[in-house]
Amino acid sequence: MKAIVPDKMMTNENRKLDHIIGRMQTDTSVDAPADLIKFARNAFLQRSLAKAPSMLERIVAVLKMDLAPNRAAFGERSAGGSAARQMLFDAGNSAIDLRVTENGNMFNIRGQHIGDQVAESIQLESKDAKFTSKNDELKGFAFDSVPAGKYSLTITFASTEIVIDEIILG
Amino acid sequence: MSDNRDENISLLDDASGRSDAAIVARCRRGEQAAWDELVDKYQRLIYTIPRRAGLNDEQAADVFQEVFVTLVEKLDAIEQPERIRSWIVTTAKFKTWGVIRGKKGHYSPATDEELENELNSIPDAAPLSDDVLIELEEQHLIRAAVNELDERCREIVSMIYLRETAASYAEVAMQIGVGETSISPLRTRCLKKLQKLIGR
Repeated sequence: MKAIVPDKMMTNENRKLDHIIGRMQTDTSVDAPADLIKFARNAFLQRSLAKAPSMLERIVAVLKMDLAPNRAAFGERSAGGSAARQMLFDAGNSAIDLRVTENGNMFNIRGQHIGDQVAESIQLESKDAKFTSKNDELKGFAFDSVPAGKYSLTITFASTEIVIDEIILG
Repeated sequence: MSDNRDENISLLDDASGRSDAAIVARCRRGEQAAWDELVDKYQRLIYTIPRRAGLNDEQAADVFQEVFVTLVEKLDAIEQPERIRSWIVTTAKFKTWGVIRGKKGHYSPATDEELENELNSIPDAAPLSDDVLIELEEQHLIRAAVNELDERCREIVSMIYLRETAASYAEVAMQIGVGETSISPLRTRCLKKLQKLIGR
């Protein structure tokens, strides 16, 4: 087929081309059977499944303390109570402190999540309205001018969410 | 069949590592299409390694499957994704050697050091010597480059050089619809294109 030229007369490019031709002529490789190729493609699904985000763990917070405005907690040595209604919720390894202040016929809410994680989002929701907030540097959050009503509060972290099922304002 | 290959020439210092690194990066992001591309690109090489070592179809299938399962498991841990081809060849060689030695079951060395120790225990006379693996890798690169040629060149090169029995110029001429006298210059032009693709 192709004449072999003595080495000394061949340029590097020609030698390389001869090398390539030689490799092609001795190539006895075959494609893997179709079922094996299918197996290999499907092997990636394991990874996709393993990497898929898991469902959020949902923690329902339990009300531990609910103090009306200007009332000190039982047994607390305090000069006086807060002007805000104060609620403390237990959520497993963390807690939620909520303070609700009346503002005319609306309500301002100040809260703080006491725990290790920083929330990705905080949502206050009723059947008629939805408010969102974000953690500040002290893991605090705020909602202003919230109408009276029955709300739920959801604090979402990377892998968990803490839910306070019922907060009644007004 | 003649063998004109020159032992002093290597095709392996190619630039295909860059595109491999990009494919691996997409795989790491979970793109099934990128994984399919990787499978298509390397299936032939991976299947050829155990077969070249003399394993039967069933054993070659086991090696093939284990290489891909290991690749899925270690995709994020591969430190040099641009050298994925070397990783694949080394892993296929290791798995093949495991079958030859009679090691059953799915076994992967935990560390690179362990893998190296295992590979060093393979005698030089083993069927998959470095020379054989270099040959298989080079053939893989050439096939990949042939696939990148335009359709007519791909047809010409494949018919003349990649078939078990080389096609005559008359057969190639008939297949691509040109006169027989055109085949020789076309062949030369296509080989130059191929060489350029390999040397990129």
